[in-house]
Amino acid sequence: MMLSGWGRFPRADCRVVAPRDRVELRTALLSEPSVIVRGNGRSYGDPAMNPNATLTLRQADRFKSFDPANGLLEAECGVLLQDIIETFLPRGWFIPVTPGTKFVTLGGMIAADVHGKNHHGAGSFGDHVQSLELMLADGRVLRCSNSENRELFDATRGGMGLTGVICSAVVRMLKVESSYIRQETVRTRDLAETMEAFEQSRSWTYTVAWIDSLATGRKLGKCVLYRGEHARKDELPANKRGEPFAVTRRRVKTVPFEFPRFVLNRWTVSLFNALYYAAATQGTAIVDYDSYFYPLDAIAEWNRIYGHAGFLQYQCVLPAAASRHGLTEIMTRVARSGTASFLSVLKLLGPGRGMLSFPMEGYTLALDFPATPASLKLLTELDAVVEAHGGRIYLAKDARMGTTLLRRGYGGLDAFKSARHAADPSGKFMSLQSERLGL
Amino acid sequence: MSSVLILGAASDMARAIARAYVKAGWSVILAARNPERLKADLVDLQVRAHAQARSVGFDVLDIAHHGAFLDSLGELPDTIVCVVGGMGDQAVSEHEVAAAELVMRTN
Repeated sequence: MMLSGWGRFPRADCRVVAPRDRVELRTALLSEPSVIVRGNGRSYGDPAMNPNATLTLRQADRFKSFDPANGLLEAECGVLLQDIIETFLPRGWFIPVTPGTKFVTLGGMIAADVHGKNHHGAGSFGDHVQSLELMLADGRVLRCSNSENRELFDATRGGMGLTGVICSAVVRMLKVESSYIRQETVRTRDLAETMEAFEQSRSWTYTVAWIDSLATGRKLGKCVLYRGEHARKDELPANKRGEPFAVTRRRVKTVPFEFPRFVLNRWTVSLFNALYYAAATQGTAIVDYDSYFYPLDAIAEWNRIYGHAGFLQYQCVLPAAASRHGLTEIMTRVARSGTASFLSVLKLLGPGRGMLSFPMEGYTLALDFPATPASLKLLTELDAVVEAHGGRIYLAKDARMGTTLLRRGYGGLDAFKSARHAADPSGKFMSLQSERLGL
Repeated sequence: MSSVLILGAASDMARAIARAYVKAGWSVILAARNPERLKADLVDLQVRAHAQARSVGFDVLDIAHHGAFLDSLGELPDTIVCVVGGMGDQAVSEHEVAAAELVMRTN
C-alpha cells in the first residue's frame, strides 16, 4: 500500500506485514531480506518505510506490569502514548518526556529518542527507559539496559529501528499532583530577548517558544515563550481541586480535505502570526495537560493543510555557542525566502547522549514548509548553515538531508554503525531513510 | 460487580471491547479456542483497571459441549458479546461445500 510519513512526503508503495505475535514476528524476520518496523506513522519523512516489508506492530499494545511503588511501567511496543496517559494519569502518573503529539507508539518514542519541552532538565525519552527487549535480525531476543548489552541499548535509543525490533520496554513514569500545568506566558521583541528569556527560565520544568518566522530586521526572533510546571493540587482553582486528575477527551476536529496550495502563503501566515502574538496574554494560567502538550492533536489530520504535495519539517539543533549567530542566519534566510513556515518552534536543549540521538546542548528550531522545489532549495541552503555551525538535523523529521550533513552532525555515527553491524551483520533492518543516508 | 463474557476473545475487536468493559468496572471472561493465547491480554486488563479477568476455552463449532461450557462458568454473566467470525476464502467456498459450510457454521 502507499505509505508516507506524517509530512506526506515522500510516498512509496510498501508491502505491509502485520505479525500477530512474537512467533510470527520471528518468522517474518527470518524470511524477509529487509524490513523496518513502523509505529503509528508520526515521524515526518521516510524512516518508517520499507518497500519490501514494513512491519506494523500496533497490535502489540498491551501493558505488562505497573509498580505504583516506583512508577515502573512495562508495556509492549505498540502501545500509544495516548493510552499510557489516559490509563495512568488518573492514578497520578505522567509520561516523563513527551513529544508534541500523543499519537506515537512507545517503540517509536524510543527509536526516535524523542524529546520534549523539558529536555534541558529531564533529558530525552530514552533517559527514562530502564530496559527494553530487542528482537535481533536472527530472531533472538536480548534484554538491553545500562547493565546488559549497554552498547546495543545506547544504539537502539535513537537508532530509528535499525538495530532490531523493540518488542517491549520498561519506563520510569513521573509522579504528578494533578493533570494540569501552571503556565506562564512571556512575550519578547527580538532574538536576544528570546534567548535571554530561555536562560532565565532554566529552572522551569517546561519551556518552549513560538517564533514569528516572518519577522525581520529588529524584530527577528521575536516570540511567545511558554514555561510550565505540573500544577500542585493546592494551585488548582477550587472547582478543579475535587478532581485533580481529570482526563477529558477534547472534541477533535478533522481537516476535511487537502487545502489548495494558496491557502497557506506568506500573507495568511503573517496575519495568523500577528493575531497569535497579540492574543498571547502575558501572565499565569492553569491549563489542562492536553491543551498544553498536544494542541495540534485537537485537529485530526492537520498535515492536510499543506495540500496534496505534503510538507517538510525542518528541525535542526545548533551548539549553544553558535546558536545566536546560526539562528539569526537561518531565520533571516527563511524570512527573506518568503516561504512562510506555519509552525516555528524554538527550544533550548540540554546535553545529549551519544550515537544517533538528536539532542545536543544548544537551541533547536523546528520549521515547516510545503514540499515544493523552492522549499527544497531553501532547505539545502539551511543545511549549509547548520553544517557550518556544527549543528545537526533530527532524523525523525528528516526526508531529504544528505550524507555529508549526517556525518558532520552526528559524532557518534561510527559508534552507531559498529554497534548496528554487530547486532545485524547482514543489514536486514533498513528504511528508505537508512538507504538514502547510507546508515 | 457486573460481568461480561466475550466469545471469540482472541480478536482485536474483542480486545478493545474487553478494555472498555474493565474501564467501566466490569469483570470479564475471555473465551477462545486456545485460552493460553489470552494470557497477555489478561495481564493487560489487570494492569489497566485491576480488573477481575479470566480466560476459558470455547469452540463455537463444538455445539455438543456448549451446555457443559455454560455450566462450567459458575454464575452466568450479565452480558455476552460474540465476536466469533471467519471469512474463509470466497473463491474456495464457491467450489467446496465443506469450506462453505465451515464459514456458515462459524458465523
